[in-house]
Amino acid sequence: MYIIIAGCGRVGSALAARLSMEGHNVAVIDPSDENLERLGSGCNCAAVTGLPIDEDVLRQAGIEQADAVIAVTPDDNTNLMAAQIARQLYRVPQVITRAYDSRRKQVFDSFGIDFVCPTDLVADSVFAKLIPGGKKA
Amino acid sequence: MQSKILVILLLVLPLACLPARAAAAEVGSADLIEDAARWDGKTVSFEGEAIGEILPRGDHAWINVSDGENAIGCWVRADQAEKISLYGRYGVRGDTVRLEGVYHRACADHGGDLDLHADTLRVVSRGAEEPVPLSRPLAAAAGVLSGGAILLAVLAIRRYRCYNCE
Amino acid sequence: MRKNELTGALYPVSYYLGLVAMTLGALQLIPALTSLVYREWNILMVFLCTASIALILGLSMMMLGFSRRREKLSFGVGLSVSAGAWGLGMLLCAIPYRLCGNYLSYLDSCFDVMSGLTTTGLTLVQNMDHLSNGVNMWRHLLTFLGGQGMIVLALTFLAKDAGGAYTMYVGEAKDEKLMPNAVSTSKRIWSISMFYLLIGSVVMSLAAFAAGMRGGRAILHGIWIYMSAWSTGGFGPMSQNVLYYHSALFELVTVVFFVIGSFNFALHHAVLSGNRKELVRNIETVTFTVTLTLTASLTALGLMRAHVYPNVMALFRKGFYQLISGHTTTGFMSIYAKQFYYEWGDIALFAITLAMLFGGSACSTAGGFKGIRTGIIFKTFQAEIRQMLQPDSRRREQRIHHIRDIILTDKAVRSAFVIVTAYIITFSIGTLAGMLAGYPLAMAAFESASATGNVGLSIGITAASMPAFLKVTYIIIMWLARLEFMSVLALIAYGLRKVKRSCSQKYW
Repeated sequence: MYIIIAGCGRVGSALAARLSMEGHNVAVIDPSDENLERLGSGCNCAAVTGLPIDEDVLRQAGIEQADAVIAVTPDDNTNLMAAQIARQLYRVPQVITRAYDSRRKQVFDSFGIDFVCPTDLVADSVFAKLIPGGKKA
Repeated sequence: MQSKILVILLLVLPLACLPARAAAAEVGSADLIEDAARWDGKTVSFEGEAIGEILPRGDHAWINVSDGENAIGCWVRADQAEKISLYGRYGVRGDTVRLEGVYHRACADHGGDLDLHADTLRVVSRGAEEPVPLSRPLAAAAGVLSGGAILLAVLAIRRYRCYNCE
Repeated sequence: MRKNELTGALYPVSYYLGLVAMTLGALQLIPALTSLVYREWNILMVFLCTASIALILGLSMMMLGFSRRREKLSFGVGLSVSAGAWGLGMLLCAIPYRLCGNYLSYLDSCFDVMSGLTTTGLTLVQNMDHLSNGVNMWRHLLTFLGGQGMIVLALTFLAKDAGGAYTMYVGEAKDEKLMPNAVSTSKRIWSISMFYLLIGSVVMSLAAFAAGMRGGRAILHGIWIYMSAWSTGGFGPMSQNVLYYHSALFELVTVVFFVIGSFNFALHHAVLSGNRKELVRNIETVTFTVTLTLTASLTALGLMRAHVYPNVMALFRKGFYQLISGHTTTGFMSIYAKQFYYEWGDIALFAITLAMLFGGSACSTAGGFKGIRTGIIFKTFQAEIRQMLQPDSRRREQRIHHIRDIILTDKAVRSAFVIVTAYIITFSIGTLAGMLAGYPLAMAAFESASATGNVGLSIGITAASMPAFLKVTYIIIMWLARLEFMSVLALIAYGLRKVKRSCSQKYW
């Protein structure tokens, strides 16, 4: 698969490492060179410096042939915009974003974008540890 | 009787005095290449084994002749080339031919090729098939090693069939 | 790197080297098959032996490192594996040569293998005109393989678990990423090559037919000459090389193929993906055109002054052919080696030596400085001169076009200068070695340029009677030059247990 990861924080770089190890083509976008250095000099992936909402940058990263776009920048709004561009302009088959604020769920759903909410995940995990078998949020 | 002998001698003597036809100098390929200026445009004699194959060009042909050091391209007439029956390659010694003709360091007719335009071509000795005999120890080694490799491959596949489990 | 880290890395290294050895073993089945078809029984046995040896060794090494194959290799270790693979490859691939009887020693066999793998084309084979089809197949296959790169080949067989893939890929002097994943890039490179192999073999065989050849020989020669042309190798199945065919058409077709073969893989990828304008905008094609024109004019001048060739056609088929063969670092010859020295004259020899050093494009099968560096250096000179003449003008940003418009950073310029300097130093050492062996400067320089640029044109020095130290020198030069120094130096550094982290990033 050809996968574009927007945002090279801890999650982004970890995903890049694992996916490229599995043999996928991974391109990582981040405006900061420092963040991209997290990938290491021997990373088996492509690193692109720039904003993930900039179409030139996206095209340079190969969005036209992408099978999936994963938006994991620290900012929810950026993630949403990048996901929208990917989904609607470039018709990328699978788009997954991270959204800290789960109230945005409806917005994402209406665009057909898959999302992962860390806040809910952590809360659920802790809840499960405290009260095993209890009801989830 | 004596006058007859005298007449015959008188007739034969002049013939004996005719200069023998100048034999073209026999040159090796190394000299042809390195001492080219000396031989360029002159008639030389070159002998070697015909190698590869005949490369026909209409009523002429190219044959490449090797004297062990280098192979020289010879431009011959098709009828001359027909005299050659065997060309050298692996396991075959080609006919040894002797050509006489004009040598060119950089032939103007043939795009600068170093060549010899043959006036005469003579097959000095016929070539022969010289098949390389199979070496028994080598064949034995091949058998043993191949067997070992196949065995190891089978073992490896069996052991690592479950690619992701470890 | 601490001691246990170094030894710990041995396991994944064993895995990758084992993979390379196995690949080489499997490949030897191709010449084995050829020998079978042509009933060259001894040669068949030789290849069965050597293929088995490589397979056994490779499998054992892979099994040893299997459990730790997923470990990521540090940049330096990855580079060392590249260089090591070429070294191991040379030793393994030389065995069939030694056993077949056409080489006088194991050193000569190693020389020929290294020459083939680095797509140089200098050869020490004996009795080439009576060479078996099996061995000829192996010679040409090696140059085709070497052109693509052994790491690249090995990587294509990996579906995943290539943690060190990128560093090893770069170690083979390929830093163009066609795809983000080095494994995908390797597969892409091989697809492009296989596609061209099919078409090219057909075209070349047709040219052989046109030159008068018939039957199986025409097809075999077609395939071999194509492999040699595309990989800018320069090996030929007969001792007269391209002169054997005495055909202008044949020579022309080889020119088309070896020029295309000397182009950057990324350029091929771009053009095949529809971006045809790249052909004229790319800095490497532009630089190549300039340096080719320059050296060709100089060669023609030299040849005409020395009255070497009788007419324009000869000048073209002998002068220009040798020059473009040298510039693309192919090495096909339509004249005899000694003729360079005895006939060409100093000016023409100077021009062709220069052309051999300039070389072809980066990330291709060609050698030499590479067009992109020559281009970068030229642009930098341009900028510096402008700065000197107009010291008050604003310092403009230099750009080059290579698939994309790229800003010329100081790092890139430094890198270009450093590698070119490394080539020049290597070339000088090679020239010195030639002179120490007793040859005059012009000859020593020519042959050294041929080895340094992985060209293959010979002025007559390369022969089985060469002193052994010169053979070893050329082997090392060909190896260093093909891998562009970095990986070989990394290997040496690890061997000496001194780690140098400074030169970790390479830009060109």
